[in-house]
Amino acid sequence: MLEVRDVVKRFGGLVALNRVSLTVKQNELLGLIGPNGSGKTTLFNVITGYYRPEEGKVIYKGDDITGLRPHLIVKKGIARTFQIPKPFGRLTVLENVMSAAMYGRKAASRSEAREIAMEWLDYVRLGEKADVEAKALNIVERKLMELARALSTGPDLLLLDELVAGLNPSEMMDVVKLVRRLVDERGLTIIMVEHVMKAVMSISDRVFVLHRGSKLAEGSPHEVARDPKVIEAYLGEPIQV
Amino acid sequence: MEVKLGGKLVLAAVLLILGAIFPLFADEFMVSILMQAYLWAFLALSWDVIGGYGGQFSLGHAAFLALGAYTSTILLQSYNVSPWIGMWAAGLVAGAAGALVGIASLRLRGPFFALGTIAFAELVKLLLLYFKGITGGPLGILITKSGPENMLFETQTPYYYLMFVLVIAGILFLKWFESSKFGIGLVAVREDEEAAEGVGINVYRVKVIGAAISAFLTGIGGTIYAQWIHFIRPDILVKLEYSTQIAAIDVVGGAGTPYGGLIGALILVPLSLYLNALFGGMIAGLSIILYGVVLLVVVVLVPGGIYGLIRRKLLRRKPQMGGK
Repeated sequence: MLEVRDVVKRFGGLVALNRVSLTVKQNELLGLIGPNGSGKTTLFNVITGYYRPEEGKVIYKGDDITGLRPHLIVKKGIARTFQIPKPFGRLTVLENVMSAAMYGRKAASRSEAREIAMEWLDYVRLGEKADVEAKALNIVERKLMELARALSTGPDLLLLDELVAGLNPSEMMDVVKLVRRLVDERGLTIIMVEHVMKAVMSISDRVFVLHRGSKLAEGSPHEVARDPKVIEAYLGEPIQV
Repeated sequence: MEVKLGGKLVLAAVLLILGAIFPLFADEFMVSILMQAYLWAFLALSWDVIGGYGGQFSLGHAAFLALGAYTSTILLQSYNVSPWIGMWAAGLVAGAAGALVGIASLRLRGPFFALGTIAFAELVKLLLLYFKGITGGPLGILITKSGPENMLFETQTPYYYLMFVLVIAGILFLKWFESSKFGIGLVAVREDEEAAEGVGINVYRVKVIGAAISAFLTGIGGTIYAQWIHFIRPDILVKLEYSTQIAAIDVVGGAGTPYGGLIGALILVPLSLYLNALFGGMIAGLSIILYGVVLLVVVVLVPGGIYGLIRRKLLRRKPQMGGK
């Protein structure tokens, strides 16, 4: 479904992504992990058009989408959340999510958009906050709103950037289950960047490890967790599965 | 909820009736002052589209006012086109210029955009002076026609009603605009450009169209202004003072709200007319200083403007009312 081919992204002298190749299959949940600064968010930014790579290609459903502007990537059916949530603070939660339905892939009318938005807000259990200004939400709610907003664009492929970071363990497991359900019940394909190992390892079909801008390992959560290179990269930190 | 809505409707109806019967009781002078407040309110509401909802602080809106005024006046004087029709052409010409400013806003952020719009207004003034054959150069154009069919009236009262209708139309437009697809998109871009792109909004397009709509409305205001003063000249229209006044009125009243422009104009316009009458021409640039000071005070003490202040007070009182 998505193929990232030999992507190179430099910032001045720093090579943030060094010949990274990655494929994602339809209806798969891919966990993308790696230490801080390993290039995970950069890779997201390349896929979603925020960065144009110096080399390499991004192919989505057979189309070359490399360097396409972000709003056009959304129209192709790829949506994302941001590591630090970016709510439209002075719009209500409902308007935030409606904007995605109206400007996203389907270009829904206002009334359709309202329905789509309410449906996804209820899905992430934020329905009762619909009329609140987004800036009044706490961090957990902001993350959930961003998830609902991304979903309202009508994506086939969803990129989640540290969705559960900052949540307490029980909130985290709730959100993780919700993400898994999106794949199992709604047929979405998801790449999720996550620092919390327990979260990634428990729900991913496959895990891809980035380290200093290159691929370090790839495989099932079990394989990756036992890979000596991965353990070393995390400074011997034992990975819990 | 229903009580609140009912209350709002009653308030709106009372204000409408008061506004409509005002000329029956007030003298020509008072009518003229309130009429000017409406005119500036409409200009501030027009500015609000890009300045308030779009978050792009333009200090060049006098240029759109002038472009609108010149367009319809040239059509009237040289081609005998009634301003009732010419005002739409005025809007289109100003709107096209607004789109250019919108394109500039893609590159220039914050204070640099504001400076860019000041430069743009100066450029428009120079062009109006330069093309003497069409614009009359520094001498400007005197409107010599007459009659209601040419939007020209003998007394202030018809102008009062004209601008009364204009400002109501402006408020209704913003009411509709702020919950429209485009309005939500524009605010989304103001709040966070990256996130806006991330939901599929074409940020460039929204900014350019937003600026064009704002300039279109200001251009229509320009026609009405010209019809009222009967006389246009580059240096009396394209003034930084006017650009500042438009922005200040909106910010003081409450930017990014349908009512901010009117509230700001009802306070600032009579105040500035009064002060100017008091000091005459003795202190040059007095109103610029006035607007500067008022703007600073409001931005520091009451962000959200007077309308924002009133709204916050009402919202704070609401839980107590519910408890009783």
